[in-house]
Order: sequence, then C-alpha cells, then structure tokens
Amino acid sequence: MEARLRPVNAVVALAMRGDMTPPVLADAGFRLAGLEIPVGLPGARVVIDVLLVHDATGHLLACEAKSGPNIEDGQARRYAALDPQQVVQAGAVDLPRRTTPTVEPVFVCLTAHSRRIRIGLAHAEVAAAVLAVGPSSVSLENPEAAGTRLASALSVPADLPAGLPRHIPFDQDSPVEIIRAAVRAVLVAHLSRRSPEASTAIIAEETAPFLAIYGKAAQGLFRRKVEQALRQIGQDEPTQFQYQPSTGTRDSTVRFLRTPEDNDPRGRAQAYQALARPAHTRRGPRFADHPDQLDLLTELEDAEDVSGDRDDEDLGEEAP
Amino acid sequence: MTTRADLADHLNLSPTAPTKTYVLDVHTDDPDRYLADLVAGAGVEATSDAALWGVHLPGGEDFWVDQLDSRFWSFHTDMRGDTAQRYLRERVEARRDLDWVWLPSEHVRKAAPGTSARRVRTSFSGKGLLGSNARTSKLNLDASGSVANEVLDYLTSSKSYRSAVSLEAIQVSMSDPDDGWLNEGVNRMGRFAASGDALELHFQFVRSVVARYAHLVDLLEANAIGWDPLDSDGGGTLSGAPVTVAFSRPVPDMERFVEEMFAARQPFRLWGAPHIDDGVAEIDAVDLHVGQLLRIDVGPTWMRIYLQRGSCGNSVARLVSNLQHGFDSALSIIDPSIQRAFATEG
Repeated sequence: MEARLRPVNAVVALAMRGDMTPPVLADAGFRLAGLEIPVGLPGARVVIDVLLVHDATGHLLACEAKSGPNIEDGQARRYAALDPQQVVQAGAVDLPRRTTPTVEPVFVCLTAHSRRIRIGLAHAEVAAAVLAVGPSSVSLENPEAAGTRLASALSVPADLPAGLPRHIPFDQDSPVEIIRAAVRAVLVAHLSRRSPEASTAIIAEETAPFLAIYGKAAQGLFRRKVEQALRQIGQDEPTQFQYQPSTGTRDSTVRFLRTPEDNDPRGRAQAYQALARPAHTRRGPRFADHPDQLDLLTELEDAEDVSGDRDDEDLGEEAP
Repeated sequence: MTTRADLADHLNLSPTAPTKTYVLDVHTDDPDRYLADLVAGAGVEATSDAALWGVHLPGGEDFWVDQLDSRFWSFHTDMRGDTAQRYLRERVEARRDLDWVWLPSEHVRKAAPGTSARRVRTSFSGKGLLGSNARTSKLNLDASGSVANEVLDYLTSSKSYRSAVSLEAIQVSMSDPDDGWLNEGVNRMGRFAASGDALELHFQFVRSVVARYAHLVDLLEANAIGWDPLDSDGGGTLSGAPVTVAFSRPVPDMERFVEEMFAARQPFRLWGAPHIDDGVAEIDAVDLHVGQLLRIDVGPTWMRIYLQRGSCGNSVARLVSNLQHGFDSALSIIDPSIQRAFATEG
C-alpha cells in the first residue's frame, strides 16, 4: 500500500471490527458514517475523507487524511468551522437519538509528517486533534486538542499487529504502474470468464469499486489512468489483449484474443502462470518440490487392491 | 409421474450400491433452464414436485436433482461414485456459476452432532505451502472403530499435530425406531454416501450439513465489502469488512507460500502476481473457480480476504477449507460470528 494512503485506511480500520487491528474507535462508540463527503457550497467546500459518528451523543469526527506534510490554511479553517447539521445532511447520517450534533475535526497523517502538520495547524490557528499513523501503531499526538471520547479511545497508541487493511488500495493519484497491476487482475478475471471484450468504463469500475463514492473529477482521472494501463498492456502483450481506442460513438475497449481456458487443465495453469509474471522474472520449478512430482510410495503400490481388506459396507471408497 | 415419495423406489441403499448425494452451489435465476443446459444431452424428467427433476444419462444412469434449496442443489444417485463424480466434475470445471461446497474441517467433524463416528479420515498435505522439510508436511489418518474419535481427539489436542489434522471425511451410523437405520459418509466437498433402510434419514442428514454450510456462506456474503455512493457529487458509505484469518503457525517462507497459492493450480485455483513488502504479500488475485476478483493480503500469521459484494461466499469457504488441508487446520477467523459459523459453535 502506498504510504500516502495509510492515514485514510488507518481511520477506517480503527472503526471496524473483525480484523486484527484493535477497533478502538468502534469500541468507543464511533461508527463509520461515510467517506469522501462533500460539505458546503461550491467555493467553500470541504470534502471529509472519513466521517465517523458517535450514535449515543451525535458527536461527529470529520477526518482529513493527509497524504503529505502540508496543511492548507483555508482548508484547515473550513474544517474547524464545519457546521454539524450541514455535515449530518451532507453525509445523510442517521442519528438514532434526538440530540444536537457536534463535530470535531481530526487530521490524520503519517508519523513522519505529524510535527509539520501540527505546525501547519498552529499557523492556521486551528485547534484540532492529530492522529499519527506509524508502521506499527496509531497515536493521538495532542490529546489536549481532542474531544474526550477520542482522547479516551486513544489514550494509548493503537497497535497494528497486522499492518492495515487495504480498503482503499490505490486511487486516482496513484502511479499508473500500481493501477496497472490491479487492472491486469481484472483482465485475467475476464479471460477466465471467456469475455470477448470489455469497455474501459467496466474495467475501471471492476478495478476500483470504491471509486463510486469519489467525485466526478477523481473518477475521470482514474479512468484515464486505467486507459493508459490498458494501452500499455495491449502493447506489451499484443497476442493476448487488443486495446481499441475510443471513437466518437464508442468507449475504448479491450478485446481478449485468447484465453488460458482454451487449454487442457495442465496447459491452462501454465498459461495463467505465464500471465502472472513478466518473462524476465520467471523461474524454473524447484527441483525438490516439483508440482507434478509423482507420489513415489504410491508408485510402489499395486494398481488394484489385493489385500482382501475391502468391506462392502465400508463407504470410504464410495464417499469420495 | 414421479413424486418425491417415489425417490425411495429409485435410489438403492444397499451396501454394494449406496445412494450418493452431491451438493453443488448453483447461481441462477432460472433453475429450469439452467438444469436443462447443465445436463444437455441427457433426458430431463419433470416430477410432481416443481423443485425435483429426474436426469437420465445416455448410459442409463440417473440423477435425481433436488432444487428445494434454490442455491445448494442435491444430486442424488445410486450409480457408481466415480461415474457420477466425473460427470459432475466436468460440469463444475467448465462453468463459473457452479461449484462444489467446501466444508470446513469442523463441519465434517460435527456432521452428526451427538453421534459417534465409526470412521474418520483426515488429510493434510503441506508440502506445497510449508515445504517438504516442514515438521508435519503430510499427515493422513484413516481410523475405524470405536477408537476413531479418541485418536482424533488426541491428535487435535496435541500442540505438535493439531495444525495438521484436517477432517476429510467421516462416517457415522444412525438409527431411529420409526425411520430405520443408516450408515452415512460425508466428505469435505459435500459428497455423501449412504446405505441402510432409511432414505429419509439420509435426506435429513444432508440437509442439516448443508444448512450449517449455507449459514456460513450467508454470513460471509452479508459481510462482503460494498460501496454505496450518496449522489453524483461524491461521497458514500462503506459496508462490510475483509475476512481476517488467524493462523496457528507462521508462514515459514512467504515467497514460496504465495507463489504456490497463486499458481492457478488445484486446489486453490487462484491467480495472482504477489507483491511482497516487509514480510506482507499483497495480491490482486482472481478466483478462477468463479472468474472473480479476490483481493488478498498475507502476513506472517494472518490473511485478509476482501470479498466484494456480489461475489460468492463459497470463494472464501473454499480458500479457508483448502488452507486447512494444505497449511493450517487449526486456523481461525477473527470475526466472532463468522468464527462461530465456521467452527459450528453455538
């Protein structure tokens, strides 16, 4: 996972149960209410990266996941001035109890950037909690600036014993090389289903279902990168994939020229394996553990059971 | 016209030709047409029950296909097991909307709660994922008689062996004063074989195993990851979560592990080009059984499986079942409700 995407994935992980990451925010009563929520009128809009809500009190955490070390003064001040009711409406958040909502801005960054983020916030004269995401933990850098529930939830750093889940594994700002790897998997899925062709729009949706919640500009940028990746793949493997640019009336597409599914089972696996690795990285099979190594002891056995030990009532052979 | 009650006349329960039932996971909105297409070349006979069909193969053998569960169909037959399996295997391998069921080890072990096993068979082969120098790279057990359970209990309670004791099949005997008696065998791929004089008992047994498995698959699918946009301006919600598996033993060689697992070979049939960084492998994989994307992360003692909404929960069940037989039979799932369904607890 790209380092710049760790902050957004960290907040989501701390609010979700069922993973090895301790769900300290979920345990504190927060639940994930939305992502990429645009709040406010054009020109003065804030897009909240992750929105959490505390159902019992109507307290909202508006999290800005910083991919770098810089704070934009205007953005920070808009976060600090968020109107809680506007946030509830923008995120279509259901508050189960009649309460007056409150909102608290939270800036989430990599530990390596936390000092500069705090300086940036001070410069913007914004008091906001800063969560720092390190390689093995998430910590609240300034408890004095956090609400009581957030401060209590992260009174000690949350360990990350199993890294972070890749809810957002890449986005429109990721390099084409990273997107290309995911696009390639989508193409292989199409090959296995014997699709004759697929449009760029379909491939982009399948590559990144999470892009559905992003704004149009981000979706457009991502789709252009998918298009770029498809063009490269078509050039690199012209016998497998044929990229057809868009025309005035038709979206760009990929045609699948052949599929491993046409081979017999062994040839099929080999053909898929060939798709997994560029030629220069292919390795020969390990001598000691060749996948097709026959079971030598079975080779010593007679083809037919002559032991006379068969029990007609025994279902072991019939129960496959 | 054949009725459901007539099945007893069509299915032999003798010791030499037991009735077999194969349960398949079928995805279709049009079961009648799907069945006709699936068994093209065979005669399809409607019965008095809209969900029960006779399938008559050119060689004279029959399947009785019960679609009472609209997703998990039962193919009953008393033809030879190898003939029936070959016929169904060809169809499963040729389609992306059809799969076996993949029972976790505990589902096999507890197939008949309250009944002692007459025979247990375990199978573990970790050569591929663990390497042939592993302490337990292969462990198969085939135990019959009253000691079968004791041996199994001993092995599963042993710290040295418990990660390599994976239930492949179990055989039990059941009797009921009203229904009769039955010897029943079931293996981890949802294949059943029964002899005795109580066909109804066999159907009940199959149903109870399938119901437990269906509950697990339902939970996995309910937990699948979904993204719902609020409107076209952007913004939306995330539901579901990855399924996180905790291993009881560490991955000894990550490169080898993922290379083997994502080599597009049986039993996993997963394709992927793993990217390993700092001991963690990230894979945009494809489940070739169903032709769907399945993002997976593998760490030293854990695995995350990102099942997307609309994907088949069987993909996760199959992956975890195969991990039990090729890497770690004592693995567990972090989510408590899924773990309970996985281990048939509570």
